[in-house]
Amino acid sequence: MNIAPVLRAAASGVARRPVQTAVLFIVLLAASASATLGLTLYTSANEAFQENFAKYHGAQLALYVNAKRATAQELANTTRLPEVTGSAGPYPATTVTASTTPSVPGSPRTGPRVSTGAGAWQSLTIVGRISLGGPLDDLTRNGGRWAAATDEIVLAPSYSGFAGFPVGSTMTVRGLAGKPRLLVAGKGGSAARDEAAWMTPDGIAALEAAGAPAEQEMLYTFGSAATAVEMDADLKAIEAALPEGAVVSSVSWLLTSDQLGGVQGINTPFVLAFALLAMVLAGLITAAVVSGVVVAGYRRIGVLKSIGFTVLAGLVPAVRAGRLSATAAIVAGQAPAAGAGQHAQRVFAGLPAPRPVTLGLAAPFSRPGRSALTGAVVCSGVAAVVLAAGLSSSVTTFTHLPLTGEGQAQVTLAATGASLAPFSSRQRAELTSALAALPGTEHAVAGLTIMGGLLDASSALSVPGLQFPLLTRVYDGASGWLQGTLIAGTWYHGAGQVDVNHEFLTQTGLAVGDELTLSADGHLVRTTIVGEIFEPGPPELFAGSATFAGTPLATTITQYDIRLRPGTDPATYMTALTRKLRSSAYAVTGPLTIQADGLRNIDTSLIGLLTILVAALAALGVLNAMIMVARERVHDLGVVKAIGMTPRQTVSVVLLWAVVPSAVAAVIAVPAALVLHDLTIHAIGTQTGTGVPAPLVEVYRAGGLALLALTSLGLAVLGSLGPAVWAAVSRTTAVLRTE
Amino acid sequence: MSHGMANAAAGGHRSGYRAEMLIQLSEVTRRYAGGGGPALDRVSLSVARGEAVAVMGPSGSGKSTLLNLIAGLDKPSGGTVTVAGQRIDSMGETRTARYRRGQVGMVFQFFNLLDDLAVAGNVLLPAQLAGMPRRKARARCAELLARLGIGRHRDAYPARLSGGERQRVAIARALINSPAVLLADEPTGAVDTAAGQEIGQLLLELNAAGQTLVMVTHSPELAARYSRRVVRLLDGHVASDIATARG
Repeated sequence: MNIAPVLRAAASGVARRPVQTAVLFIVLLAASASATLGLTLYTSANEAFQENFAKYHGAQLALYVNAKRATAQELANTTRLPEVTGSAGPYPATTVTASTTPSVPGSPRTGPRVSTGAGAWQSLTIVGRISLGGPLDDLTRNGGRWAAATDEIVLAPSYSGFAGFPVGSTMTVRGLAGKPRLLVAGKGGSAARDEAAWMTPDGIAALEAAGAPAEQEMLYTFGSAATAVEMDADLKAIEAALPEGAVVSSVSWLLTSDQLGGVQGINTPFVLAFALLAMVLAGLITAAVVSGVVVAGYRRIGVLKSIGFTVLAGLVPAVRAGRLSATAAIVAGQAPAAGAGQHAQRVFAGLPAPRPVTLGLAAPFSRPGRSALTGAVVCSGVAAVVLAAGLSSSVTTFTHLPLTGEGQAQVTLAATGASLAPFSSRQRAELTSALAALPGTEHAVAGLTIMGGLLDASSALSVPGLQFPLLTRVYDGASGWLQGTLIAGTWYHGAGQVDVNHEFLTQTGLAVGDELTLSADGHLVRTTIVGEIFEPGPPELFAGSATFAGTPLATTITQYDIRLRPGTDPATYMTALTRKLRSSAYAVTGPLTIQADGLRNIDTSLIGLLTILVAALAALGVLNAMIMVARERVHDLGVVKAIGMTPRQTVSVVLLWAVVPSAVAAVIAVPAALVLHDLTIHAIGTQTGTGVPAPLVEVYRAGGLALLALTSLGLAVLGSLGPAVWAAVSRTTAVLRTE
Repeated sequence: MSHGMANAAAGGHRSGYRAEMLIQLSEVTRRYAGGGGPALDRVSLSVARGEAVAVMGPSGSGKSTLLNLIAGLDKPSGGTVTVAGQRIDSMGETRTARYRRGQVGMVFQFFNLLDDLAVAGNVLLPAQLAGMPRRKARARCAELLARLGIGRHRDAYPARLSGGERQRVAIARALINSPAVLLADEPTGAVDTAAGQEIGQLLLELNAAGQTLVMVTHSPELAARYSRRVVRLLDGHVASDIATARG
C-alpha cells in the first residue's frame, strides 16, 4: 500500500486543527516536564550530595582530638583499624571565639569601617590546610584565594554566623594574646561537610601560640558507614583506640546528608503531587482531543473511505471510524446525538432566565461524554489551585512553626570551644547573677545538651536496646516557655515525664503515653512520654533535671537559653551581656538558625510555578474542549445567529457551555484537593520524619475555599472565551455552508 | 400590484407603480477572498412591500449571496443594501442581529432546525431571543403551528418529522416575529415533489396575505407558479427581471 496519501491525509487533518494540535503539544510537553521534575526529585533525593561526596572524596567522619592527649603515633594507629578504609590528617586545628561582625575596609581617608551590627561572639573551629586538595575531603574555592599568610583565613560561604563576611574583610578574635585580626582571603569549603574555616598550618600555630587550644583533625572513611548505628560503631572503635578524653568532638557525614535529604524530602512530595495532577490533566486533555478528532473525523473518514482509502487511513482518528460505513461515518460526524440533550433543553427552557442563558446551560447535556471530560479537566485544574494554595499555606506555616528549646530562645549562652564543656558552680553563679541583672531578660533557664550521648562517659544518656544518636536537652528550672509546636500530648511538667520528637517515636516504635526507660550514668530512669514535639532532625528528648535526680545529668549545665522581654533588641542585649561577663570563656549567640534553615528551606516559588503550570494546563484543556464543542456546534450557532442571536448572546451561550461542567467540577475538586493536601502533608511528615502538627493541615478557611472554588469559573471563562468570541464573530454564511 | 426597478444593465428596466420599496440594493458588489470574479457585480434591485420575487440562476450565479446580503448575514464589498429604510450594509454585528430578528425570517433548504429542541422550542426561539413576552410568544407560536397544519407536532422533535413537516416548522420559526420580509433559500430543494408543492402553496398563501417574499429556487415551475416576479442572475449580474403570469 502506498503510504504517502495516508500521510498527506493525516497531515492535512493536523493542519485543519492548528490550535488543538498546539494545545496537545503544549499540554504533553508541560506534563512531561512536570512529571520528569517530580520523578527526578523522587529518585535523586540526596543524589547531588552523593555525587559531590564521591567527586570531592568526602570523609565520612571528621574527628577533633585534643592534641595534648593523643600522640601522632596514636592517631596513626587509628588509620590502621579494620573498620577504616581511608584517612587523612592529622591537620592542626583550633577553636577560637570570633566576632560575627566583619570589619570592612573603607576609603583610604576614612580608614577601617567597623559595622555596629549584632556585635556577638561565636566559637569557630579552624583547620590548617596547605591547599585545597587532600587524600580526603577536597576543598573548593568560591571566591578570593586560598590563605597564604599566617593571619589569613578562608571561610565557608554559608556557615551560620560568619556567612556575611566578604572577601577582604577582617575578623576579630578575642581571648588571645595580641588580639589577632584575621583577613578573609577567600571563600570556600567542603562539598561534603558543613565545616567553618581554614588557615595555613602556620596560621593555626600562631593562634595556638597566642593561647588558642591545640587540636588535631582526622578524617576517615569506613567500610560500613551508611547508617547511624554503623557510624556509631566506627566512632566507638576509634575512640577505643585513643586515650580517654582525647576526642573533643566529631562530625558524621550522615548529618549533612540528612539535612540535604530533608530539604529534598520536603520538596519531593510537593512536586510529585503536582506532577500527578499534570499527568492526569494531560491524559484527560489527550482523551478529549482524540475523542473530538474521532467524532469530527467521522465525516472526513467517511469521505476518505468512499474514495478508496482503506481502514488504515482512519487509524489516526480511530479504529472505530474504520468500522463504520462511509455514509454512517458522514452522518455521525455532522451533529451530536439529539436525544441526550432534549430533556435538558426542555427543563432549562422552563427556567425564568433569558433564552441564551438556558440554551447555554442545557447544551452540555447534548454531549455528556465531552462535558464530563471538560468537567474532569476543570476539576483537575481547580484541585491543583486549591492544593497549591493549601500547600503554600502549609509551607509558610512549616517554615514558621516554632521550634522547641533553642528554637524558642533568642539568645544562648554557652562555654567557648568545640566541646560542650559544663559550667562550674562559680560560673553558674556568675551567669545567673549577670542574667538577672540585665533588664531585658524575661526568661533564662539553665540546661544540659547531650549530643549523641557523647557529653562524656559519666553522663551519657541512652535508650537501652537502641543504638542511635540521641540529642537530649535537660532543663534545670521552668522550661514551659521553651515549648515550640506540640504535635500531640503536653509539655512535661514534672519528674518522670519526657517529650520527644517524631523521629524518636519512629525509631523506637513508641507513642505518646508509653513508658520509656532511659539509662543515665548507669542508672535506669523510668519515664513516660507525655508529648510529641515538632522538631525536625534526629531523635530528640526533652526533660526536666528532676527526672534524672541522683545522676550527673541533674546537676550538669552546659548552656543557658534566654528569652528577651518584648521590645528588647537582641543585638543590644547580646552586646550588653558580653560586656557584663568580661570573659572569653563564654560564647553568646543569637537564635539557632542552621538546622531550621537547612531542613525548612523550601522553594515556594517552585510551588507557585507548578500551580501556574497546572492551572494553565487546565485552562488549555477547557480551551481545547470548547474549541471542539464550538466546532461541533458551529452549525447550530450559525442557525441561531441567522435567526437573530446577537454576538453578546452568542458569547454568553458558549461561555455557559463550560459553566455547568465547571460548577460540578468545583463541587468535586474542592474535597478532592483537601484529601490530596492531607495526603501530601502526611507524606512530607513521613518523608522528613518531622511528624504533622495540626497547623500544617488546618490551613483552609471556608471563605477562602469558596473563593478557590470560584477558580473553576475563572478557568471555564479563560478557556472558553477564545472559542466564544470566535463563534460570535465568525461569518454566519460560512458556518451555514457546512451542511 | 407593484414591481421594482430592475438592473438597468440587464436591459429590462421596468417602470411601474410608485409602490413602497421594502428592499433596495444599489450597485451592490460582493467579492470573496481567493480571487475569481465577483459573486455579485454592481447589482441594483428593488423589491416592493408585498411582492413575491423568485431569484433564479445557475450554480455560482450569486443567488445565495444576494439572499445573504438582504438577510444581513453577509456584507457587500461595495454598494448599499437598504431594507425597511435601514442601511444594513453599514450596521454593526449586534444591530444586524437585531435587524434579522425583527425584519427578516429565513427559510433554508435543509431546514436548519435545532435537533435538541422540540417543534415549539424551535419556533419560539427567535421570539425568545427578541425578548417577546412569554405568553404572547406562545400564542403566536400556537397560531402559526395551527395555520401551517403542524399543531399536532408541537412537542415532537425534528428528527421524527418528514421533510415537508420540518420545512413547515422552519417557516413557522421564520414568521414568529412577523418579519417584514421572508427569505427562502431553495425551500423545496430537500423535500419530495408533493411536499414541495405544499410548501409552494403555503408560501403563495402567505404572500397573498401580504407577506413580502424573496425566494431562491432552481425550479422554473415553482418560480412561475408561486411568485409574481422572476429575477434571473448570471455570473453576478441580473440577466432578466420579468413578471410571471401571476404578476
